[in-house]
Amino acid sequence: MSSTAQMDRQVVEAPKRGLARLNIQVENIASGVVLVGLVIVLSLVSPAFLSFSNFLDIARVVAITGIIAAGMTLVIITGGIDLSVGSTVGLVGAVTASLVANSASNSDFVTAFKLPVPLAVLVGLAVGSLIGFVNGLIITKTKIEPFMATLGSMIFVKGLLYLFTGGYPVNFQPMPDDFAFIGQGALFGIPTPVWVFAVIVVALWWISRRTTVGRAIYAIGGNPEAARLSGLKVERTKIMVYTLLGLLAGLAGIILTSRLASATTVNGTGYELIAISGVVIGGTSLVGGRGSVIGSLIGVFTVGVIQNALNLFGASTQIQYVVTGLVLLLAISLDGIARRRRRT
Amino acid sequence: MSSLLARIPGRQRESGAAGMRRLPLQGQQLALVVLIALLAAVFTSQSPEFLSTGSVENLLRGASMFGIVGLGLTIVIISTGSIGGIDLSVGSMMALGGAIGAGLLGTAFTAANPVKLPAALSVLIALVVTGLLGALSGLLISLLKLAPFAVTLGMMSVARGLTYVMIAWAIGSSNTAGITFSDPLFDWFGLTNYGPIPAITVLFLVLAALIAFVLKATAFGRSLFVLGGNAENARLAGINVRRTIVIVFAISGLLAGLGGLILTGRLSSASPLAATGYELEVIMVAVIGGTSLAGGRGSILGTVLAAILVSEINTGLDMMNVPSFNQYLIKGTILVLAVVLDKVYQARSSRKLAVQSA
Amino acid sequence: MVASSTPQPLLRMEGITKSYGNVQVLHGVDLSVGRGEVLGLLGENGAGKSTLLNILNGVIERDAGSIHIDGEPAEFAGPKQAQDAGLAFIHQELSVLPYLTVAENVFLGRLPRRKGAPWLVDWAACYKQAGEILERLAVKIDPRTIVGRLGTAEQELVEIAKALSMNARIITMDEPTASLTEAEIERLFTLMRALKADGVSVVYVSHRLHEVAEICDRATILRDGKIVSTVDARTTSSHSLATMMVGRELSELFPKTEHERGRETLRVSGLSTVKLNDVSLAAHQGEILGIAGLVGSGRTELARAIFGADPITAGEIFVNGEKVTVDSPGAAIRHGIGLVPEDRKLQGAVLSMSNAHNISLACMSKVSRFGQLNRGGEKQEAKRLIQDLQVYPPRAEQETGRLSGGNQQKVVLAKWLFAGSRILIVDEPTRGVDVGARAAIHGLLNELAGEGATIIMISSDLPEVMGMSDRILVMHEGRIAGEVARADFSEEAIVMYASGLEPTKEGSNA
Repeated sequence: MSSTAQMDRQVVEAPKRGLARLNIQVENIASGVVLVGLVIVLSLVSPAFLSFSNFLDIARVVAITGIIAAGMTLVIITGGIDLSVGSTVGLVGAVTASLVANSASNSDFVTAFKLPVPLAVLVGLAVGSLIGFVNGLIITKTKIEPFMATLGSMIFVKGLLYLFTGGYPVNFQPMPDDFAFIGQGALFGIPTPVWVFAVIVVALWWISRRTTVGRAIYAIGGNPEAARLSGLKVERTKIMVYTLLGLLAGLAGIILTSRLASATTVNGTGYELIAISGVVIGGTSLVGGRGSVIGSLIGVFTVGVIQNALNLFGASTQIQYVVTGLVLLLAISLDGIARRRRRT
Repeated sequence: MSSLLARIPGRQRESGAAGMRRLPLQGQQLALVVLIALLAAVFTSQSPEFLSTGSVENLLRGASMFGIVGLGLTIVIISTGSIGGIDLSVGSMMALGGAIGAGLLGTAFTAANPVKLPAALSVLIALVVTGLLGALSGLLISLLKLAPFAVTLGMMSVARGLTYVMIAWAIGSSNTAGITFSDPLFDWFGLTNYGPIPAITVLFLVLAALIAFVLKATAFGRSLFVLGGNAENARLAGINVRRTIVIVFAISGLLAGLGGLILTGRLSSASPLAATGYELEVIMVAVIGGTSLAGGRGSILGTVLAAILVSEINTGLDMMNVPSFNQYLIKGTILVLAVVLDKVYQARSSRKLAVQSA
Repeated sequence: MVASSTPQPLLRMEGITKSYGNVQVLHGVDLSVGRGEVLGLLGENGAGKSTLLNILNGVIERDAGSIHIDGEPAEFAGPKQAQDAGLAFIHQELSVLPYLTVAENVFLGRLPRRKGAPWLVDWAACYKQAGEILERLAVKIDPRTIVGRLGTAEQELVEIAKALSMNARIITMDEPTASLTEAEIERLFTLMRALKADGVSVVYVSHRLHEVAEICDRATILRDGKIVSTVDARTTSSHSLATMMVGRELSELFPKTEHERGRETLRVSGLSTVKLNDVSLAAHQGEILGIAGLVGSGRTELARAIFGADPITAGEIFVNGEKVTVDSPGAAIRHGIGLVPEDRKLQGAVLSMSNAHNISLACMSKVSRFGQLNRGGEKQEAKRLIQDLQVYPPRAEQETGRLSGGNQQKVVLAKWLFAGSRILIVDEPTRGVDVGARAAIHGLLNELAGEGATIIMISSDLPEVMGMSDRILVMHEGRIAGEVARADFSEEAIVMYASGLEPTKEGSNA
């Protein structure tokens, strides 16, 4: 068998090994470098940028889409996508708001029933999880392409949102303190949403890198058939991941509602774009099997810093649409180029 | 040789069934016609004025608008379905087409823009811009082998943003008001009838016939089916894959721009929120029309019929006073059902192929 | 041995050399085909046949050497140029488009155009010309038929018609009979003789040696990227062809170690699925049970059904005498069954993950507690297996996709060793694997059997399955057509069973 080893040795050139190992991390490093570079340039250009309060501002904004992006990372690693998260943000925000004391709206549904804040939040999270669960169910059982299935549910959930609110915003008169704490409060000077975001990033990083479920997520995205033939429960894992994302989108919706002190039908619109952009910028491949939650953290901060800079420079919200789209296009193009390089 | 052929069981029977071969597609189109008639009966029973001239005219305008955009998407899916071909940017492209067309007009009421062009020229520019943006999507997809849904999702956002920018520039203010205007060419898009038939319906049918002809009778049209069936085959058959993908996405962008001009003509205004969510209707038109999301298969007649069906659903629900947002629920469900049916059909036909090759 | 039978061969390839990275797969190969000749190209998997054919048809570039067609030097920038030069390549996997008509498939990308309007397709001419070509092939298929409605054999005829429509003078057929019935094969051969008479040359690749004797004029044998010999196909025995292919007597190549056959470990009774019909078998401790049969005969389906990967419609499975329910791969793994699937890249390994992660994939519970992975333990176990199996490079963190095919296969095997599988089903374990790794994998399987594991080995490679197995079951159309004991092993017996026939008693030549 020693001759075997010798023969095989010819196949893989030794010098490539070090680089090969680096390759995976290069994408993470690259996105990190981009972020740091961006921060440095912006600090030089605009003194307003480099301040603790501005960074807190960025973090507060990023936290909401970042929570979604963290969950989206796992979905994308399984080779899927979820376009319905923006609608889920809106629906869960409205449902939760309606259950919280002092909320009011012109819609009949909304004023009917009140719960203590923790219970209202739980109901909201359950609604988000249910949407994610149904997405996962449709995708695994009918084998429809995930983007198509979740495009359908994006519209459907938006419809539910209108049905529930009658198109009217849900407001508070005034907002209870414990609900306000979720989006507007702070602990040790750090806004609550940022804490929540931090906890979720750590938890999802741990799940993805340190647990058998996480390993299954990577395996399924890398090669679903091999994963199945290794005894992994492919469908169950996928449903779990979509459910988790639904839950996180719901959580983002609750935080957003608390922060804006209002649940409207436009809440969450376009968040799927920001989350997907963040994930892809963070080096997670849309093809599946590769990526990391930490990368997505860097990615959403990159998007957040760009948006923040546009605000600082007084760019209109209209331009921001264009920029968000361009950033997504750029991110997936880089992913495409990286894939090409890997292939050769 | 012929005796050998006869010895292989089952073959003769299959060859003998040549006449039946086109039935499945015809069956699907027949089903669409039946469905259109059935829905018409239901809607009429609920609200008798469904069959009034005004309502039918409205239905035809909607069908023509969605149908024209749907023609583009049909071509995209037929030719690139095998690589997941789809164009999610059509709704935003419609908005952008309308915004450019109206924004460059000399007759816009609120126009602050220094450039004021004749209607024909502004329409032309609108079509060129949306066509070019479509081509850009196609270029990214073919050059970097990116997932079409992701590229066109990004393009959806870019086009929507450009719509805002265009309108803000045209009315000299960044509030989200629209451009209102009056123009004979846009009236032709939105108001003119030839007898009982809206002008744009004639335009739609002419375009449909033209595209059907191109698909059936030209070398380029046939190459789309080859590409959609199997990209590697297409390359071996000497088809320029990259160029073809760019062209079909350009056509889709251009036709979406045209659809947006029609929408603008119907409303006599261009709003930054116009056509939001219309990609849903357009995808419904293509998929219900029998275009397989897997690529390589589809028919223009199906797309035309599906456009009528989808517009009929819109019109009927409006007349029954179903709030427009509840229509989201119905349409989201229909879309998923249509896609599931396509999947079932694909699975059945591939199983059939598999059994035959076993 | 005979040299070129025609003074001026239609095709002459000389000194063809090709390397991938540091591995030279073709070492100066010479090959010639006469006008109207059918040349058999023989060689084991991995001998370099497909590389050679791909070079011939312009799919890949050669490093050195020359190709002459009709005495003219030929340089192809791509497959299209090769087609234009009169070459046609019919792959084992047919590439017809199922939704299009026969005629359109025949003229794919070259549809006849209208005179005066070259952008328009002349459908009348298209159907007429396609009809003429089909007629020339004596094939009774309406050119307007949708190809998806045809059987495989007829689809293959469409491919041949396509080749003829391009005025192909040299047609490469890669295992064209792999999924054809006897009658269909006969029909194909009739057609090939007609082509010969028309002066069309064919390069014919097949693993079925008796077919080579029947249809080919000469046979060129390729081994380890070199031409071993070119012989008269009609007068050379299958046995000597096989010996030339493997280069040694089979007994040398597969040093079969004899083990004590122990108690029964696996029993399958009356197993049926969509593709399987009432299959029963038993396998034992220390036994290597070979499963032979043509592609599509149900071998892979049998493996997948036992492993719980495909739903079964009837039948029972017993492991160590106990009846078990295997309704998922997970259940099979719990009962100690492992499957090394036929397609390593698509089904075996997750190429984007590291070796260690691939190895622990089927039994993560062994290195985790309450779902949390013990990564140190995982890496250690993986390293041990990587060393035992001599995976190169011997690194646990190495991404599996960056390994050579043979090493990837070793990682897949390591996965089942890690999972502690005692019944290991290996489906084409050495397909696309280089010679060295092949020997290592064979050695490992022998070793496992020696330690009392049960190995079920599926292979299309007759020398392999005969060299390795204690017993061979031959499948035909979803059934077990016959069983051959080691003492009675012969290619002929297996081929006869595989074709659905009873072997003749005196035909044995092993």
